[in-house]
Amino acid sequence: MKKYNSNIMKTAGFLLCFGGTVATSSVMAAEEPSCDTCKGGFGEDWSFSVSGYARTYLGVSLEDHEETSDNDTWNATMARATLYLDTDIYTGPVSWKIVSRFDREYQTDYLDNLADEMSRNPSGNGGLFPGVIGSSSRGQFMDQYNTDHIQELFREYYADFALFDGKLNMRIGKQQLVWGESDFFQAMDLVHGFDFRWRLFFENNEDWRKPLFLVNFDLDLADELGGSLNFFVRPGLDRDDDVGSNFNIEGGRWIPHPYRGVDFTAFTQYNADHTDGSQDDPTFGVRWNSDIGSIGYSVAYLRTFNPAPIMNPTPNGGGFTTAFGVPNGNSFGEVAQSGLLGDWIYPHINVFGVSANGYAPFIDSTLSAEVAFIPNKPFNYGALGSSLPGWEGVRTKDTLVTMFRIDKEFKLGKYIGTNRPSLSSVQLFDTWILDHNDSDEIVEFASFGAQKREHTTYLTLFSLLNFKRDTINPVFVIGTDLSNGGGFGIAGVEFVFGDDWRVKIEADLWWSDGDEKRANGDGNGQTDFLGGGCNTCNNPLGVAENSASLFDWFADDNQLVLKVTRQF
Amino acid sequence: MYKKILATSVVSLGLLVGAPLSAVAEEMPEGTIINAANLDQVIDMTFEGKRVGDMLPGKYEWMIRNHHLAIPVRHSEPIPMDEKYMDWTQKSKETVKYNPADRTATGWTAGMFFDPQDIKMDDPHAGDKLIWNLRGPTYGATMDLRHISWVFLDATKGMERIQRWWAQRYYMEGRLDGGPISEGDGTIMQKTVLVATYPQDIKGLGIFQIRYNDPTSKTPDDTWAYLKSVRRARRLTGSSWMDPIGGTVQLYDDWDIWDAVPTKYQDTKLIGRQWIFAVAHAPLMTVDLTYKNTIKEFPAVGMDIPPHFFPAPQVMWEPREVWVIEGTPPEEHPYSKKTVWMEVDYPRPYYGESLDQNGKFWKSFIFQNRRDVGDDGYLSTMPVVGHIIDWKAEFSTTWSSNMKANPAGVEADDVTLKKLISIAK
Repeated sequence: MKKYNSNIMKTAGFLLCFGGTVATSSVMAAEEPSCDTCKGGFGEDWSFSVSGYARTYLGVSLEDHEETSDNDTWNATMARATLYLDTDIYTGPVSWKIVSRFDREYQTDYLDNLADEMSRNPSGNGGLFPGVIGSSSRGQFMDQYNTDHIQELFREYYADFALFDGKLNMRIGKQQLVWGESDFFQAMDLVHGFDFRWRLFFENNEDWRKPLFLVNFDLDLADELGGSLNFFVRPGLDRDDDVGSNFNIEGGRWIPHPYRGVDFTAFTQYNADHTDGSQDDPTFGVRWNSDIGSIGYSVAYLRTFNPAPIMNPTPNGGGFTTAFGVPNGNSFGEVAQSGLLGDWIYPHINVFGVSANGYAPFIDSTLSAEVAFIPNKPFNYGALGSSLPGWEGVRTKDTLVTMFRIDKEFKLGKYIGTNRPSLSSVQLFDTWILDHNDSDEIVEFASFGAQKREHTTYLTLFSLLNFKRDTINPVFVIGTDLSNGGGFGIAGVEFVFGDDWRVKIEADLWWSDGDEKRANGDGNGQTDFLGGGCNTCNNPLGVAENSASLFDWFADDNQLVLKVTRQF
Repeated sequence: MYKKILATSVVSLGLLVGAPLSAVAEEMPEGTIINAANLDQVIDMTFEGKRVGDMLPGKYEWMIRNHHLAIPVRHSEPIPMDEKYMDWTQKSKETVKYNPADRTATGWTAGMFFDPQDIKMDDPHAGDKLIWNLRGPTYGATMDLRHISWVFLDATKGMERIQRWWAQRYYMEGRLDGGPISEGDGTIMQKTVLVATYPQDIKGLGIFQIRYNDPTSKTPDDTWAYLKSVRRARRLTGSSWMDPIGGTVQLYDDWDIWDAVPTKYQDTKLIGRQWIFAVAHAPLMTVDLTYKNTIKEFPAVGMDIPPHFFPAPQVMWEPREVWVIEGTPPEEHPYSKKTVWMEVDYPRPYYGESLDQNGKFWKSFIFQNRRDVGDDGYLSTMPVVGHIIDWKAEFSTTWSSNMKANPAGVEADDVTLKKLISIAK
C-alpha cells in the first residue's frame, strides 16, 4: 500500500511542481441549477462542488544558521507546492466533506546541507548508532514535508447529518474540532495536535492542525436550557502519527536551534502506545455553550493528549543518557521502548476549561477570556546543565492556563486610507504552575535548559489592515515572552488579484535575550561523536546551557516567505 | 377691494399663462431611454403628466450627463402589499406610540409602525417614523438572499472579481407568515447570517448578527465572525453594523440602503416628497447560474457597458412617488449624511446617496426591486439588485440575488451562529 501511495504521490508531485499552479482550470465547481425556484441556494439537496487552490511557497533564510557549514543567508529553506481540494457533496439529509491536500517539496541546497549534517553526526550513520532505532527520517529526509500517506492526502472526510428533528447534529469522520478562544497559543484548543515541522507563522492554523477521526455530537438545547451541548469521542482509530504535535525532532528546518541536522528519531522514538498516552485509547470531551445576556460562555471538560511531546527517558542511564551528563533517567510509567535515550510520548491529560466573550460598549471593544485547569500536567525536568536538559524524567504539576484578550477595530481610513476598520488585538497568555518549586527543575521542552518559571506569560499584539477594497492586506504581529525575554515580529502583506490569484510575502523575525543554546562548532567537525577514533569531534547536542527558553529556540530563524496561490 | 381684484387678476393670469404651457408640454413616449444624448430634449417633457427633469433626483442628472447612466422608461403600475401587512398597519394606529423624548416607537406588533397616509411633511418626527417603518419586516418575515453575489466593478476596467455569499435574515418580531407573529422572548428583532462561499480564500468567512428589539438602540448588536481559516467564531464589536461588508464598498448599514433603526442615527429628517424614476419591476431572473462566472450571470447589470455598474438596458424605470429622508449618522460612522428616496405607500427604498465626513458626495445606491410571492403566498416587493457606487474610487460593488421571501421550511433555529458554522465548514 505504501508503494502504491508513493507512486500516486510522486506522479501528482511531478504534475504539481511543473506548472500545476498555472495550469489548474479556473472553474471546477459543478454547475448549480440555473433556477429561481430551487431551494436554499447553497447546499442544494443533491449537488456537489469542488473548489481549492494550487499554491507554491518559497522560504528564504535571512540569517546564517550556525549548524551548517554554508552561509545560509538568502538560501531557500523551503520550496513547497500544494494542491488543495475542498469537496462538498450534498445527498439529501446527509452532507459530506472531503478535504484533500497534496504537498511536495523540492530539496533545496539548504535541506541538502541538513541531510549532510545528519550523515556526519551520530544521528546519521556513524559511530555507535548505525541505524539503531527509529530513524524515521534517515534516508527519507523529505518525508516530513511530503505527502506520503493516504491519510495525509485525505486530511478530512466526514459526514454531517441531523437526528431528532434537528436537535442532534452529528459529524462523523476525520475532522478538525476547535474549542477555546486563544490566538497563537493553546489553552482549550487541545483536541488536536499541530504539525510544526513545515509551517510558517501567523498562517491559518487549519493548515497545520492534525485532523482526527471523531464522532462529534452537538445537542441543541436552546429551547430547554438556552444553549447547546457539544460532545465528542475519538475512538482511537487514528494513526500513531496523527496524535500530539510534531516539534520537528527529525532535524529539519524547524527543529529548534541549534539542532538542525540532528535527527533525534535516530536515538529516540515516538511511542504512541505508552500506557499513559496510547493512541488506541479513546479520548473525549464535552462542552456546554450558552450565554448570559450578551456574554457568551463555554464550560468544557476534555481528555486529550498533552500537545507537546514529553521525553520518557531510558531509565538510570541504561542507555546513553549518562554520556550526555544525565545522572538518572526515571521512567514515566511504562519503561521507554528505546534502549538509547528514550521515547517521546503524549501522555493523556484532563482539561477543565471556561471561556467567555462579550462586547464592552464603553471602550467599543470585545473582551475575551479563557481559563484552563490541567491537573497533573506532565513536564520534563532535571539535568539542566547537561547536554540533555529535562532528561531526568517527568514531573506532573497542576497547571492553570489563562488568556485575556481585547479586540478593537481602529478606524484608520482617514489617516492611512484603509477601506475598513482595522482589527487589532492584544492578548495576554499565562501558564501558571500552581505548586511550582525551583527544585523541581522543570523545563519547557526536553533538550533546553531554562527552568520553567512559576508563570510563563506571553504578550502578543496584532493588527490587520485592508486597503483598496481588501486587495492589499498588510498584517503586523509582535509577541514577547514577559517571563524569559525574547519574542517575535511578523510583517506580511497579501495582494489580491481578481478571483484567482493571491500573492503574500511575509517576514518572520525573532529575537532572543542572548542566552540561546549554541551549536558546537560550525558543522564541519561534527563527525562520529562517541563513535571512537575521534578525539576532536563535536557534541551534536550543542553547548550545555541552563538558560534557553522558547524564543531562544528560534534564534537565527529570521526568514522571508513568498506564497503564490491560484484559486479555483 | 382694488387690491383684492388685482391679486385675483394676477393669479388668474398666471393660471391662464401656466395652463397652456403645461398642456403643450410633450409627453415622452414609453420606451424612451433617457441618456446624455437626449436629456436636453426630454428634460422638459412630461411622463405620466410629470416633468421628466423633476423625476431625476439627487445625482441622477449628473450620472446621466457624465457617467453614461441610461434610463429606459416604462409606465408605472401600482404594487399592492400583502393584506396582512396592511391590516396590521391599521391596527398599529391604536397601539404604536412615537416618543419624541427618545425617538423610540413602542407598542408595535406587525405591519408598518406608522401608516404613511397619516404622515405629514410638517411633522418634525416624520423622518423617524418612516425609518421605523423601514426597519420592521418589509418584505416577509424571512429573507433568503438566494444566490447573492457581490461583483466588484471598476468604472474603467469592468469586472474585477466576484464574491458569492449565502445569506438569510430572520425576523423574530412582526412575522406574518402564518406562524406566530412573535418568536422567542421578545428581546430580538432580527437575526442575520451572511457567509462567503466563493472564492476559496474567503469561503467560510461569515458573520452572524443579532439586532435586539430595543427601540433605544442602547443594547448593541451582537455580532460574531466565523473564520474558517482558524475554525473559530470571534466576537466583533457592537459598532460593526457600520463596517463594510467584506471588501465591498457597501456597509452593513447600507443593507436595504438604510439598515439602522432611527435611534442609531443622531437625527433623521423628512425633507421632501416627490416623483422619481425608479426600478420597481426588475427582471425576474437577476442571477442566471447557467452563465456562472461570466457577466451574463448577472443579466440585470450592464457590466459590458461602461462604467459597467449601472442597471442593464433591459431594466425599466418607472415613476414612483417617494419620501425623501435625510439622516445624520453617529460621528464615528463613515458617512456624515445619508439620504434615501423611499416609496410613499410602504417602506421600499429605491435610491440613496451618502456624503463622506467632509460633506462631499461619496456614494450612490441604486436598488432594483420587484414583486415577489413568498412560498406561503405572502405578497411583497423586494430588492434583488443593489448598485453601491463609490464615486471617489469610481468603483462599485453591485450585488445581485434571486431573493426570496418567506422560504418554506426556514425556522428561527436555521439562522444562528451554529448554522453559520455549519455552512462555513
